[in-house]
Amino acid sequence: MKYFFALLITGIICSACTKEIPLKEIYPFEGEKIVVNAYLIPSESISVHVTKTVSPYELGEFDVSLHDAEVELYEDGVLISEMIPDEDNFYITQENVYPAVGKQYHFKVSHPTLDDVQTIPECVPAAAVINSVELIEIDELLRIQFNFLDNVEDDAYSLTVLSIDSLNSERARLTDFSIFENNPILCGVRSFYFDDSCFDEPSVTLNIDLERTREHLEYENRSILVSFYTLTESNYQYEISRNQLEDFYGFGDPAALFSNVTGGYGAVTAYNLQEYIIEL
Amino acid sequence: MHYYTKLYFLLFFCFFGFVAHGQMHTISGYITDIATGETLINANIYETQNYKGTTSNEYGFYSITLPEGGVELAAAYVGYKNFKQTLQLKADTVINIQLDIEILNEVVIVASSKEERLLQQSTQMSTINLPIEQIESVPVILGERDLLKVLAYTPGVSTGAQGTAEISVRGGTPDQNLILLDGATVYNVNHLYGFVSVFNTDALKNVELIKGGFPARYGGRLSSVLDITMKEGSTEKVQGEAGIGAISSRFTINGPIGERTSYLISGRGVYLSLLNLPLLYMYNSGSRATYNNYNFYDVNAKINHKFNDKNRLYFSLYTGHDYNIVKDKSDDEFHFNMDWGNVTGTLRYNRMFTPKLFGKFMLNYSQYKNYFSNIDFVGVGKTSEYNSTSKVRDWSANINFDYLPNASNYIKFGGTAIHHMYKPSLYQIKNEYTTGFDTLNEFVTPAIEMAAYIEDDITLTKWLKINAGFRYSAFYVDEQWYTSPEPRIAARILLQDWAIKGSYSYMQQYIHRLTNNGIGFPSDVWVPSTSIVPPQRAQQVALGLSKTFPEYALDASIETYYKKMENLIEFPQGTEAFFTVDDQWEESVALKGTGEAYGLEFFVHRKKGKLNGWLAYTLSWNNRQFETINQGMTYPANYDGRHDASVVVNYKLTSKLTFSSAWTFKSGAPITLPTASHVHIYPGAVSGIPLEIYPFKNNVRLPSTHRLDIGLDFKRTTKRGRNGTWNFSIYNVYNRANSLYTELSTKYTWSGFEIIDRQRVLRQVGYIPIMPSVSYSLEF
Repeated sequence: MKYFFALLITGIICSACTKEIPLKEIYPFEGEKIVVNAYLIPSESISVHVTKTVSPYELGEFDVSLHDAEVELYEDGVLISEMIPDEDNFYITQENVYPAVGKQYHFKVSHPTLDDVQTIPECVPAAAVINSVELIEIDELLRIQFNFLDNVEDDAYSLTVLSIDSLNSERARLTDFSIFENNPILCGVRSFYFDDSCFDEPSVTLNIDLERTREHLEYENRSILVSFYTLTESNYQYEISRNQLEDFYGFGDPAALFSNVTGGYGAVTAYNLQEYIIEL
Repeated sequence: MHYYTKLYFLLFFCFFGFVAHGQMHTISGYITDIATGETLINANIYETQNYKGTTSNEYGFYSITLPEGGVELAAAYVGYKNFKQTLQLKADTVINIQLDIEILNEVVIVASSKEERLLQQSTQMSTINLPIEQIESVPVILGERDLLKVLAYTPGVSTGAQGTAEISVRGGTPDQNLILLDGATVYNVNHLYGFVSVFNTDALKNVELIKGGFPARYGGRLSSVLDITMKEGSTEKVQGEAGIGAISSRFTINGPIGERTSYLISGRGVYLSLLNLPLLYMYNSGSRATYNNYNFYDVNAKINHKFNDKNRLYFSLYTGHDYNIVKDKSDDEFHFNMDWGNVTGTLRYNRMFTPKLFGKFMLNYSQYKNYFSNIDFVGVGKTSEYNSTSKVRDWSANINFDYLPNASNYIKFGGTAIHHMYKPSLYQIKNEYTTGFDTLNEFVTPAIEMAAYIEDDITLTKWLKINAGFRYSAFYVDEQWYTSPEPRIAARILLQDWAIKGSYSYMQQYIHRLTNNGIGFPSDVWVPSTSIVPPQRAQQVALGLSKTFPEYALDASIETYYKKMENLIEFPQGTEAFFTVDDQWEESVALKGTGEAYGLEFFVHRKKGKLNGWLAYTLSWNNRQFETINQGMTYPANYDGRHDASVVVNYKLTSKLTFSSAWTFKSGAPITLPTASHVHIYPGAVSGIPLEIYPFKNNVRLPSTHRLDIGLDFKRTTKRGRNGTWNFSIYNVYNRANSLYTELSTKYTWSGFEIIDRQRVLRQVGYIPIMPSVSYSLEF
């Protein structure tokens, strides 16, 4: 009898508490679709990354290359370029077209075997204009006071991203800022996202306080790069969803990656950039 | 006032007329078990000539007003012998009825006449009322009797993952269930991460689950009311029961104190801590690197005092807690601790003012709290620590009256006032350089909830009976009032031997629960409605057909329902909800969602007999829509499942042996899987990084689940004449792989040291394999 119980217990223990279901059985791949990705930045000529989707059940180095695609670039609804293939799945304009602030751009992509796709027009925002920068010593703090022009219309949904980085040493810890009084809507690693509602006036004052603590005494003779990004809503939504997806731990539902490509996937988004280097 | 509300009032008072009679007198009293003195709830009391009747209320009180003259009074209750008494009714009369338990195989009188059969058809529909004995006989995991798991075998009720305790009723979420233990709200039902519910059936007398057609006396939740009544304790003799099972041990003792007072104490606890003592010693001595200990307990206690036939006082208490501690020094040493539990208390005073007016006054206390802490040992004598606490606490006062002016009207009216104190988050942190804790995210929100109601169960004709009710609720938080009229109506039409029932109810809920999609994790955070997050509301209509077959002691019903929910909240896709929230929580949830749930339920139930049990089948749809989730498109809710069927059978083989089995089938739950993979390209980069894309929420169905559990009760009498019961049960008899949760994974096929194939698979994790268990209980 004891052998029977020993076998029974062994059987239960060996009866694995997991079961593997091949995904293809319960959810077949929907088929390949065109993927269009591009960042529209005034300082760079327009290029677009055109690929295709693959089955989510493929493993390893999967091939997303899409040959024989026809890519058209439109500015304010007018065709301005039939783009040509470049390296690494990029398509570029023959005449090095740079996106202009205030203009709307969109792409149409067709392929002999896949469904045509079209991106939703994206408008390039204006960069922030920095009026003044002051360094102020306040007790244990060093305050960097920016005054910049909030050139986003009050009813628009563009965002400003402030990115702060040290140019000198990775050991410089710039973690204490008093810019929270402007209520950033999102805080990343050394970056802060504000939407336009965070700034009530056209002219905005933003304070960055560096705390002179025991660990942060040695900030003298260093340089700090402060970058002001002006994002479109599409760009913001795409970056947020992509970050959520990449950092997903499994508690909840994975993020739906933002897409503004009709009929396919990907995102064509725009931003503008103003950088400022401060010598401490 | 809204036009429809005015119209409703008009109709309500039109039906509210009392039927005039000649010289009338009232028979009233309590109906109790003759052996224990326990009051019996929802017993039928009627006169046998015209079959006018009533039911006993939750305190066993009944009142029936009849014309002067000869009366044969009868009473019937499931599992008990029928009662009949003839009397000449000349004045108001008190008759306390004592029923004797029906012995199986004994020839007893059952309600068999047509009139009696019809009498049992009340206006209340969408209600599950299972005898405690039947609940205790259903085999469950590791022999742990579990009320909620048994309710999940009934139509319209489903659970999430296998083995978890929380239930979804007619497409609602678990936080939309109002769970009352002796009138006090129970906020969290999980012991042992949901494998055991907090309700100890040894201490329970009556369980009623209302899924729709809500009477006006209930409110505050959208989807269901689970009204649980604790036993009062025997007034005749001291008796008790003790049991030992695979997970926990339990004991119950109850009895009289003098002639007017009775008490009950019941407790449960796990003994894992004792078994783990050697492991703790090994951990402390350094011979073991990890130590994981789990403990839970719960205690139910109740004391009742009968001043006289008119005045009674009750005090009941429940407290239960879970503790889990993990210590690990295999790498960097840390201690992680989780602690959660409920405390409820109820003080009730009942007074029979007149034979027609019964008053119930109640003061309730309810608290749920969870606590997490982590200590990282980062150097000699140095620690980095954090802890998080979330809590909700209620004090409530209730006044309720039952007024039975005549045999045609059963009026209930009253009011409630609740003082809520929400402490959704207290987060404290310290590092190795500081001695004290810094407090973050601490916020406290008090709120007041009030409601007044009136309802009348009106017998208009022999074939038409309605229950019209009106509830007015109000909620005060952050210096703002939210109010809502909540009309309720139900009707029953008799058609030959069949009863057609219909109901409409409007419910409003002022409280929300923020929780992750974990597996019974006790990380619930309760928050009140705010100016940004409005109260949830739901409207439900239900239509049903029911029939009683007294010759077989069988009830059968078929019901269809449609429920529309508004102002729902949900975490958006991409949000990972952990254990804390801050005072900006409104910004992290998707707001103003809508939901609709509809379906068809079929239920055949035999409550007593040598062969008893039930068949249940539910066909249902359950969808949600949020502007910011699933691209604004409708998606299946987490608890959506098309088919849900259960067969529960108890068969008394001999006087000592009872076989029981429960088989359940559920359609697969929806999960979110990627539709494709593509690459993302960073600005200025030349190659992309792969990304899986999940454009749609709950876009895939898991395989269906089904499971068979069986049990065998073997009763034997000890040498000292006490009744002992051995229970042998097998959970998941045919070892079906039903998942607790799922995750995407990669399956490798090896040939020697070389991987020859890789395949993406969905891993069903934590399914409970075939699991035999044995338990023993002894009555004394």
